[in-house]
Amino acid sequence: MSSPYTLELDREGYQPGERATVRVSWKLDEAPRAAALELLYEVRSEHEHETFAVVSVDLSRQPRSSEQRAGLPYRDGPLDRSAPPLAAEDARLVEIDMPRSPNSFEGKLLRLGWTARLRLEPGGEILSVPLSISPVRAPIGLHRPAADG
Amino acid sequence: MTRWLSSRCWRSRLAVRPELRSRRRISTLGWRAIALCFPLAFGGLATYGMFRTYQTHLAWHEAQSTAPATCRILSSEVVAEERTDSEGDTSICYRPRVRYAYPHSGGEGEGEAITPYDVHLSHICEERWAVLRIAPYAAGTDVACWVDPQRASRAYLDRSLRLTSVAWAALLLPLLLASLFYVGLALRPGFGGAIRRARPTPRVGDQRVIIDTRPRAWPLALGTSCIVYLAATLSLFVIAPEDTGGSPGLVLSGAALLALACGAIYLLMRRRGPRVTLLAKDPRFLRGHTHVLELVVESPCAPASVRVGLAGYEGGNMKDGTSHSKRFHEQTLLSLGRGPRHIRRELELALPADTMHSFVSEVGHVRWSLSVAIEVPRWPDLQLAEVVEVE
Repeated sequence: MSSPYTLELDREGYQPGERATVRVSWKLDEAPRAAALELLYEVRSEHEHETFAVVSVDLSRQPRSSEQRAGLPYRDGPLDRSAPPLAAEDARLVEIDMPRSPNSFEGKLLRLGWTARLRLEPGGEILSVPLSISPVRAPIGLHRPAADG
Repeated sequence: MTRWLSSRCWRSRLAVRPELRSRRRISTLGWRAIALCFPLAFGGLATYGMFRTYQTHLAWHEAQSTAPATCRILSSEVVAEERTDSEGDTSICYRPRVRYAYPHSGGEGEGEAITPYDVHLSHICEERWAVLRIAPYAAGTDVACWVDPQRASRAYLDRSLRLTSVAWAALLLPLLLASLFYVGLALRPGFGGAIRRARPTPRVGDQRVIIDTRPRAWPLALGTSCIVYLAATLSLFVIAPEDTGGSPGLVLSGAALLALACGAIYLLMRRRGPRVTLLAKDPRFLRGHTHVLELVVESPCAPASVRVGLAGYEGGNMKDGTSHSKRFHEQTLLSLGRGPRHIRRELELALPADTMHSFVSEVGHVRWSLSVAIEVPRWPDLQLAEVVEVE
């Protein structure tokens, strides 16, 4: 049984400030009161972790993607530039400029990862998808061997 | 002598071994606090000991005006006195008491002082010691004694200076000097060599000041010295109120003089140590860019080595509640062997593009620091590190 929610990013890793296109969709019995796409990062050490929500996009203000055919790149689908009210079965296309910092990284004592999160009301957090923001579009390995000399 | 001291460049035995430097996990403040523990622990004891030695010297000096005479022992006994301490506990204290008569100005005086230093022995209460003290002075016998012809009340049975007093002075003087040294060392710029927190950097013209040891900090040195020694000395009034000789002014004056000496030692250490300035021409450090730094070293003595480096550290909170730090990047920008006393170099700082920028949170941090390490022959090395913001 497939999930009634989807959250798709046009790629897994982004450079700081790069524009990302995100498609979210859901299929419910009734329309949600509110829907938001959030970008947050989590810093985790051996003992503690902290989460910071950096970006929150109100999906009710975003254009609807009328192309909902599974398996097709959503960028190819025609866009409805208007922002209709949230529906029980809906798909929205969001363009976000990725934050410039902090970058995703992995160290021996500390790591930082970004997540795109779909939040619907009622229901709260529904779906999270990890992503990376760094100049190399992947988590920076702090202790990796130097690429050159 | 001064010229010889400043011109000779000895090999430093106090140099901290490089392999130990990298394992340091104590902050600069921590190292300074550790160094100040020595004067706090022993500075007061040494001050007190020197004060007692000074009192002994005064008593000995007064006793030199006495002349030999013959005294007749009137009585010789050990007296048991009941003493109550500050907590209300009582104990028996055995005191030697010898009464003797001595000739003075055609008449006869009467005294009880055995030595000029009796006041310093008032804390000894052992009966065995008291018995030994009165043993040479049996009642009814005539013994050699010392009487001041100018002052009838001043007479002693024995005026010789005990060797233990001299030994204590010999022990305490190095302790005192070591305390002064540690205060100076703790206040020395760059002591500990650990990384400090980032702070707003001043500017010189169009350049940012990353490291600068030139501004004089003698008020800080003097203030800290005063606090250390006043705290150490005032503690004597709590620990041994009966031994302060009834002259707190003298003790405090001595402490103030010692504080001044601390400040002087600090200035001496600064004067001999190298002065370092590290400037950055660019307003920000950006990954993937090459930045130009300017290093200026002015040293009274040719440094044995100079090293400028960039290091990146990650830090995180551990399960046991401590915070650990690991270095993930190290880059040498300049490495010189024995060089001239004055160095002015432009350095290139090439920051990798695929590395992490500075980041701080409650959970941990990624920090970058620029460091300057100068090995000074026969003098404590200078190791400075300053956190820089990499974007």
